[in-house]
Amino acid sequence: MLLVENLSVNYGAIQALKSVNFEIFQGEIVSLVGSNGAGKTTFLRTLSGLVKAKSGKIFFSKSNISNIESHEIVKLGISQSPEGRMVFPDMTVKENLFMGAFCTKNSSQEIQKDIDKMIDWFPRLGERMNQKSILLSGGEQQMLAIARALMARPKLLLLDEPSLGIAPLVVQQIFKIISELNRGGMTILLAEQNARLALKISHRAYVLELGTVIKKGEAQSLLHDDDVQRAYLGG
Amino acid sequence: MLDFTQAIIDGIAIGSLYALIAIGYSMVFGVLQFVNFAHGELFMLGAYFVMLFLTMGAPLWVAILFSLLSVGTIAVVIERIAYKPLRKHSRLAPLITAVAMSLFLQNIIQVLFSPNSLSFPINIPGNIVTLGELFVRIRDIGIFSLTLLLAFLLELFLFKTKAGTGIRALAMHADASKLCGVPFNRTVSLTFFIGAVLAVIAGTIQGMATNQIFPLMGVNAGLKAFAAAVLGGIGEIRGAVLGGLVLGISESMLVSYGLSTYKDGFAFVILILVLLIRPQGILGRTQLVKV
Repeated sequence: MLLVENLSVNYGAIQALKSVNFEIFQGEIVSLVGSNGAGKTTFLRTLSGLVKAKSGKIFFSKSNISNIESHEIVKLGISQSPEGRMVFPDMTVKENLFMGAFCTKNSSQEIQKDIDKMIDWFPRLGERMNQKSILLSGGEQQMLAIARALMARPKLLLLDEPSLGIAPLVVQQIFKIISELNRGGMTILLAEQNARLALKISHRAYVLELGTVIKKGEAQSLLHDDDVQRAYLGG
Repeated sequence: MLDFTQAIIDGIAIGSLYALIAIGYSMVFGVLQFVNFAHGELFMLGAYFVMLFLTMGAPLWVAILFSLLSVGTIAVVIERIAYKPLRKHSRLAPLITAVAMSLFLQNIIQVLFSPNSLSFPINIPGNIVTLGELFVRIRDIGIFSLTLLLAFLLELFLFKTKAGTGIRALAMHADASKLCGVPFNRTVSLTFFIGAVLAVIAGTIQGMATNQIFPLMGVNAGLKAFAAAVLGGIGEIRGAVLGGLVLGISESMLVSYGLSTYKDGFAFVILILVLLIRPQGILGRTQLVKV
């Protein structure tokens, strides 16, 4: 579904990604693990067109999207819940969800139907529908960011650090929902520092270190890989 | 008390013009965090274009419409050729370019027309009615009402249309708006266009009310409107309107209390005080960021 070939990204003189090759197939959850500064966010931002690659190609459903602008990429079916959530602070939860459907041509009835679906997935959002999103807790904002990304009816969902700064119990809930979304047919790319959590719900995974893919494979086997255990799973 | 009320009445017309110009500063700042110092020149260009179309024989409404479209387009083109290429560089670069653009526009009008004032072909007479002991220009009431109407229509546009919602989303969080599918460049252009439209209307009113236009008319008006935008809370439409009115009325108070010498400097006293005491302005908020 998504194929990335030799992707390199620079910030000025700093090389953030070095010749990354990556692939994700329909119906998979693939996680991208690695410590802070490994390049996970850069990778996701490049896929969404927020950052321009220095070299390399990105193919989505066989077509080259390397030079396409962000707002067109989301129309093609790649939607992202970004790092730091980035909800629209002065908009209510409902308005944020409507913004998620901005790229679609859905009628407001259709959008309302999708919002009802989101409330099924994330009941907490239902209770907060008319509150400004700045008033939500971190966990609720994360749920909103994921729901907003889903409102675009994506084919591929990119999730950047959905566990960041959130209470462990809520993280469990969110990961359970991510897992369920995937079982419902959603293809998901999950960038996550919490490697154990990410690997548990993923089919496959890539380990990123200083902008380079140092390991890839079945999530289960990476979970038991000695190097990965030592570096990311605390022994 | 009578002087006080009279000063308020005298200040609302000029305050309305400041407000109309300030909205453009504020909206552009909202989406790009950039002060378009050539914005005052759009106010001037608007008046010149209306005059040009009028002398070509167009009826007033056609002249205004054509001027809106022309200056709106000029604003969009300026952004594309002069500011957009500098977006990724330091913030200072586009700011200095804006100052240069402002000088360029002032001078090109001096070359094409004349450095001197020209008389505006149409004027609105300043008929005065008395309300008890107060004197009110009917024209001022019209200008004030029109400003409120335009501000209301703008809010309606921003909150009820898709394109308007895109502008708000972009102003709140540029990256997030891109991820939701808001077309960045088109939305920025639209913002510049709207700002220009309001500046043109202000310029036309100024031309019709004072009966003269000149190439540097945008300098003072532009700087004062900028101060007004900061006073009200830059980035906020209502703040711009409020800031403009407060500034206009304050100036008229100074005049009525015999301090007219200081009138033109007062905007900058306000600007300095606001930046010292309440940098976010009257209606501005300091953004809470959760991490």
